[in-house]
Amino acid sequence: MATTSSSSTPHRHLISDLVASTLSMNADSEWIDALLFTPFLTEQALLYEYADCLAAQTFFRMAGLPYQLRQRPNVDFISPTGKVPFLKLNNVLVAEFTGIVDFVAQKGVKLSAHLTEVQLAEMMAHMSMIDLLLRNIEIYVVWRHDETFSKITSSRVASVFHWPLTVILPRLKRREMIGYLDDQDWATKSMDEVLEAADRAFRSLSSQLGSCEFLMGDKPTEADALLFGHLYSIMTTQLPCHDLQNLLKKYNNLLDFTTRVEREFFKR
Amino acid sequence: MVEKEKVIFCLPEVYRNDFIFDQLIGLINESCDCQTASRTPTIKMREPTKTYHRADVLWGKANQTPSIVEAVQFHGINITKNDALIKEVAELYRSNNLDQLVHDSNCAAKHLQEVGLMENATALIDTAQSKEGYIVNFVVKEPKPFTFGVKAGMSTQGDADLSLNAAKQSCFGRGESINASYSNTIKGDHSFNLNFIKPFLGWQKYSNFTMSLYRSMAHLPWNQSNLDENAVILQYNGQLFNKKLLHSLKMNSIWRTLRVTDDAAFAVREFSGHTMKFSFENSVAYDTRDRPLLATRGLLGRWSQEYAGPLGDHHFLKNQLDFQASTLLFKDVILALSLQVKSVNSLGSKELHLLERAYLGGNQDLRGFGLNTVGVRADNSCLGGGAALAGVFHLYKPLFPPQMLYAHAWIAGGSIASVRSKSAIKDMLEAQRSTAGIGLTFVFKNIFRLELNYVHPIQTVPGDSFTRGLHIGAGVNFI
Amino acid sequence: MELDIWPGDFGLPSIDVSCLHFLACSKFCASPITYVTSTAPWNSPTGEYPVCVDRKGKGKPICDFDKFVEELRTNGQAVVIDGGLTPKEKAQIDAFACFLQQRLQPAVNHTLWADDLNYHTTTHYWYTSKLSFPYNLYYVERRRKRVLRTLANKNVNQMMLDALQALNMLSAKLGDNKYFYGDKPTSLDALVFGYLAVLLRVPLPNDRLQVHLSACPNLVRFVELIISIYLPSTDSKQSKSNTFWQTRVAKAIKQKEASAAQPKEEEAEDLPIRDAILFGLGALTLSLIFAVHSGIIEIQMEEEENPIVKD
Repeated sequence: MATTSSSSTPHRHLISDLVASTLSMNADSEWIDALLFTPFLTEQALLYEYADCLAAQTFFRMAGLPYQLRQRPNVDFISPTGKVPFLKLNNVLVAEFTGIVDFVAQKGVKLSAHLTEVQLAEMMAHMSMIDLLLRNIEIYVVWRHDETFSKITSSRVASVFHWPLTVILPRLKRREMIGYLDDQDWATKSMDEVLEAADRAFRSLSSQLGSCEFLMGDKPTEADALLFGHLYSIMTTQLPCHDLQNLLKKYNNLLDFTTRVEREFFKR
Repeated sequence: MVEKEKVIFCLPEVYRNDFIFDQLIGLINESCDCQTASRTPTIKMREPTKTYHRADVLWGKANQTPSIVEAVQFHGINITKNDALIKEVAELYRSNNLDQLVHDSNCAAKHLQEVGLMENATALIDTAQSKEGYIVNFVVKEPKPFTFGVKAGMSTQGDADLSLNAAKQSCFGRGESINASYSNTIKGDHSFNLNFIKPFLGWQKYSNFTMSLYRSMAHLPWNQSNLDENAVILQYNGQLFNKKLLHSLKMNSIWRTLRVTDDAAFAVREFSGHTMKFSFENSVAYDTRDRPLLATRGLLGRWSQEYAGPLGDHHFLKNQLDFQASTLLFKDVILALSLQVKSVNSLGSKELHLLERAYLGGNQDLRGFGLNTVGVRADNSCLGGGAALAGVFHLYKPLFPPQMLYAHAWIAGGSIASVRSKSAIKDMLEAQRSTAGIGLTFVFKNIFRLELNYVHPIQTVPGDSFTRGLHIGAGVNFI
Repeated sequence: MELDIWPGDFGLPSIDVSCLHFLACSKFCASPITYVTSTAPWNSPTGEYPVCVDRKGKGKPICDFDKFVEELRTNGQAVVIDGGLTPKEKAQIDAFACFLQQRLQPAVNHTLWADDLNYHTTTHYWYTSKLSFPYNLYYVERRRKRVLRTLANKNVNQMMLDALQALNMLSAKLGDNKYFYGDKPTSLDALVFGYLAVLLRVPLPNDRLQVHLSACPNLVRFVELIISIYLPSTDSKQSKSNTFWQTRVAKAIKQKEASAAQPKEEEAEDLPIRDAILFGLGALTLSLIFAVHSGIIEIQMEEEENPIVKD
């Protein structure tokens, strides 16, 4: 399991020790019966959860790793970090997209092995942008935007529960997520400010993509898997507020990228 | 049957009083001088001086003396409602001889206290003007209108907590009581409990309706997880078949959140998260034990079923059978046998939820094993089973003080069948566990029982978490 | 315009990471902003510094870095920040800003606020000594709680690993250049400077990141360069306070090593059986005393049962 306790970390750890302590001990097991656990994708998963689950699947497909999908209603509780999706390989549980990517890299499978260090830094920077900025935007829309919450989010969260939890849990979860946004200084933003941030993110990603086939040139990388997961989810999820989709539609190369990746990795 | 101090009788020969009661029941609201009647035998009534005697002066000698109850009076009533008192004592008017009247008056006084209407009640039987007429006086003390308490302590998980509790007895004047408690720990967990009990009044009627609302947190070390519960529980307790059988009906609706720790096995993790449980419980018991925690003689037979059906996430049928028998051997050695059988069957297509399974092991049943750890295991977690059987054979010898401290020797045996088991009985026969031990048992009224045992294994299965040596068990549900 | 910031120490113009972001950025474009070091964060709309207030105009106070950069760009400063960059470079700056926020910020926050030893040795002491009692206690507690909340679900080792990787990548990205993009500093330089300067200069007993950062000479040079060109220290009392902090940190390190050595010796001895017996006997005795005291057990002498007689 990737979560090792950290109560007594000796003084002056350098990077090599850390790598050893967190990941390498899990890396020995072979790639057999890999299970990807996700929420019920069509009924339950929220925009950003769907995006992360899709990104992880895209990553496995790009890397040519076989996996099986398992959908469970309580994945957020089963997952070691409380976030979806997570990978189960024998007894090892690895949660979240970045965790899975690091774990797979420890097994020697890296999509970005051909990049120089500076390119790698740029790729990581764009992954951060998707992971942080784009996800915060999605979380904001899903939880903070009143109409989206009342029409979509609450019923999706409630879909796996029985009354009276169908009433209680969406509200509790909303309070929790708004607390999270508040800690990130996002709760007080207006919808316009959020859309501005979204535009900045799309613009940045669009100009990085340029006219190339993938973000870092002509080969797919981890960043492409993540980008596809999020863009595809934004494009295909029906929400009461269409602003996010409309913004994205301005960037043709991003749309082309989405259809290209879908065609190449999901429809073959 | 009749406690000596409780019924106090005014002998007709000594004094003929000249009260005139024109009401059936006179409620005297002012507090009279006889509030402390239960301890001091000397009673002062308002007007003329009288001499009272304990009932045993004539108890058993007066079953031929006819009696007519002219009136029943209560002294010390402030909040109790008239109709509640009528229900409680109406039966007294049916008594037709003096012995019966003395007996019934005592029963009425005892019952008043037991249902929570009164904190103290003493019956005084007085003579009335007519030749065979008597007046029954109840000198009572009503419960305190309101109690409040604050407590700070350490919880079992090493967390400090602060708890507040408040209670109101007989809050609407008919024996209803409300208890509320709230506790908060340093870590920020808070739990509460709100309890409402409504007794059904009537002659020697022991039945009530209970509603409780609570939120609780518990650590389940056998599953390596924590459980939060928010529950509403409605319960009816009563008697069946001419008060020979105890009967209880219960409706549970519980919102449970199971949170696993990092050490939990995947088989436990799969069950984590929120679930809603709606279930009905029915239990019938025959109980002649003299003390529930450590009976010296008597039998207990109890059969309870729980059904969780169409509402909620759980679908199962649970059955539990308890049997206990005790008897005195030689002069004071107690021989006791306890048996418990549990089985749970899943009714839906889903696998039986971890929290609903039958567990076995611990210092209250199969002594020597870790709490609830017998059976199928995954990593460090115990997954429980679908059926379990446990039996204990005890010998007790009282030490000093008697009724409290006992020397104790026992042999315990048990077995559990996994949830997926095709034939539970066969599985249980294959994996039997048994232990034996000696130790001390300490019983504190009907409040708790403490056992200190040296345990020796007789039969264990590889992988069991068993430790030979000293074990301490405390609690109320020992078999 | 006026920029309210936390006061500086350890040769830094301000001790706070965000304050340094704002400060460096406005210095880069030679903006005529007046800098006010202040210790009254309740005046800020978010309860935190930095905050940029336009005393004359009607504009809202600015607490957000992106908005601050936008403000500097549009308000006709002498040097337009990020002016000469291509769109692709601008896009990368946005991406790297997120990168820093995701990879470096949690570790920096953890180092300063969540690590117990660092917090008690330096952060807590510094902030409480600058603020007045009792507000100081409330402030540090609130800020620490907030940091702990944002770090709640993160694994500390993973977080540190991310930060060390991030430092390596920044080092690779900077290479031998003076600044990250071209020969003029950009808003990204301001951001990187903010995180690194605090890591480099603030004395801390648990200095994993510091040690690693010192091993990246180009990043160290980058920080020193910006300090010497744009934010030269004017503090004369430096050396005196430095020795104070150094002894404080040294003491904390000693304590930590002492406590790390201790538990190993104590582990071995525990006697479950003896403890169990003692506990059992103790519980029994207490229960008995209680029972006798509260009259549940009565030690009865023969009592005469008198008839009830009155007067």
